[in-house]
Amino acid sequence: MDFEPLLLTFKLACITTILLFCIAIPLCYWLVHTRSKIKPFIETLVSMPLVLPPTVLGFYFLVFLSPNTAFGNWLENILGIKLVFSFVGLVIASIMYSLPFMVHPIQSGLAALPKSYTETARLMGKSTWMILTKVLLPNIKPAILTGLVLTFAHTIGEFGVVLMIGGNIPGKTKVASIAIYDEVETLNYTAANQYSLILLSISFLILLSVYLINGGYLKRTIR
Amino acid sequence: MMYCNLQKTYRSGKRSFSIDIEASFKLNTINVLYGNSGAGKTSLLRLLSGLDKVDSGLIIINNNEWLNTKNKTFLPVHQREIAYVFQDYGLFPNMTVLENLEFVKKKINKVLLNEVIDVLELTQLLNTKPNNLSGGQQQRVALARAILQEPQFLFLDEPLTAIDETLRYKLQSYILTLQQKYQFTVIMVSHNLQEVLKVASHVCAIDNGKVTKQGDPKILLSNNKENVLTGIVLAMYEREVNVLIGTQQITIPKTYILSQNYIIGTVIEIKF
Repeated sequence: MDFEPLLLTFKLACITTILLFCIAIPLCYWLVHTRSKIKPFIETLVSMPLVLPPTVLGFYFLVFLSPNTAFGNWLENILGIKLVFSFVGLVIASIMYSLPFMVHPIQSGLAALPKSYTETARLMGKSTWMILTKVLLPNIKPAILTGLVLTFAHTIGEFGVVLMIGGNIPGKTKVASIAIYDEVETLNYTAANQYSLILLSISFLILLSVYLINGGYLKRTIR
Repeated sequence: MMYCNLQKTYRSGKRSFSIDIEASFKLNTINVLYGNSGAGKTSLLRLLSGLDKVDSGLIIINNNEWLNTKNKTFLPVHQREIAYVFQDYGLFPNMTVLENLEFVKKKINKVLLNEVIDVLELTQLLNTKPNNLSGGQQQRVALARAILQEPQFLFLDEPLTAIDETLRYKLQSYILTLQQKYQFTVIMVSHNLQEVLKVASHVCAIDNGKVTKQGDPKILLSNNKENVLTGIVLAMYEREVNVLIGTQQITIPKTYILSQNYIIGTVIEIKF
């Protein structure tokens, strides 16, 4: 069995999770505190990947980022950045595709906190950064953990978007889910089963750890 | 003197609630916003602190403008030197009591810190997280944290509501002691007349978003209706009620009382 697709999958999941976390925190803070009229539109855009077939999202990425469009042409010929059929393009598509899985739990966590935490800190003259890092985020740890784990697990299981934007280039864009499809196509069920079993076990363990930690079972066992 | 003239309409779906208030508060004393639930007391406190934006209005403190919508003056919330104790106290659950107190400032005044811990009897609670404290203990921590801000103004939003009678009495004394010691201006929300008469130097009675009376707390006991007096229920018996009218305690038959609801501490009207 070739381990490269598995390593690439975990590399993609790690990078996507870290970058998406950095994007989601300010976005969630804004969504919770804003009274802007564009809020429903942003929330709709964030939730789109939940209902949209991944191939649709992948198709539009492919079209939008290809050198045939003005933007894609500008990226590739002026800046020298090639996003289609590259790992970077895969990361960007994964971030967009997993957006609701990170944003929804963190946004719910922040919205559930009493307004008085933020207002007390504001009256003390604390900056938004201080309020976020010292007051708000430490009080929504379960929501953050849920967001991180769901994003990681969801990225591991990506198929449609990856296939559309990344194709099937070994070492660059051939992640585990594509490898499984490849192996089945060539009737190599043993290899497909090995990949599948590894993904299944890891996904189960990751989700189990969230339920154990957020449910307080680990703390009770330690005591 | 603090003067305000504020207008604001709060909208929630089809419902709306309007505040149209002109009031003044005495500096370096305890002022109380008095009124029933939903009268607009908390809303006024939030408008004064700048946590909610007004539609139009003016706030002046000793000739300094905090707010003037005509010339678009708006002093940012943190520059108003206000410490605010919310109804839910707003203590940060991830920090211990000591961490909550030390979070107030980068360089905390250690002398004041020790003094406040001593006055509010917090020594035993310093390493405890707020969620493990009782309501009264949380209240004391919130008060301590507010004082450590070394504010010019201390805003208290019904801080003694969820506390039993004995503890409430003790905390009223704390507030009086602390105000006399640090000389800040207190604006406190309350719907308990006994509490108002005990702690307030100046009262502003609010009903339905408007000021109905303001001045010395005793004005709350006066009534404009003919042959009707206002009093506070002190005790209740089978057929009689013990009432405080002005400074006098009297026991009168229930038939003299106009309102049906005579719970201890509430204001009633008595017809003679």
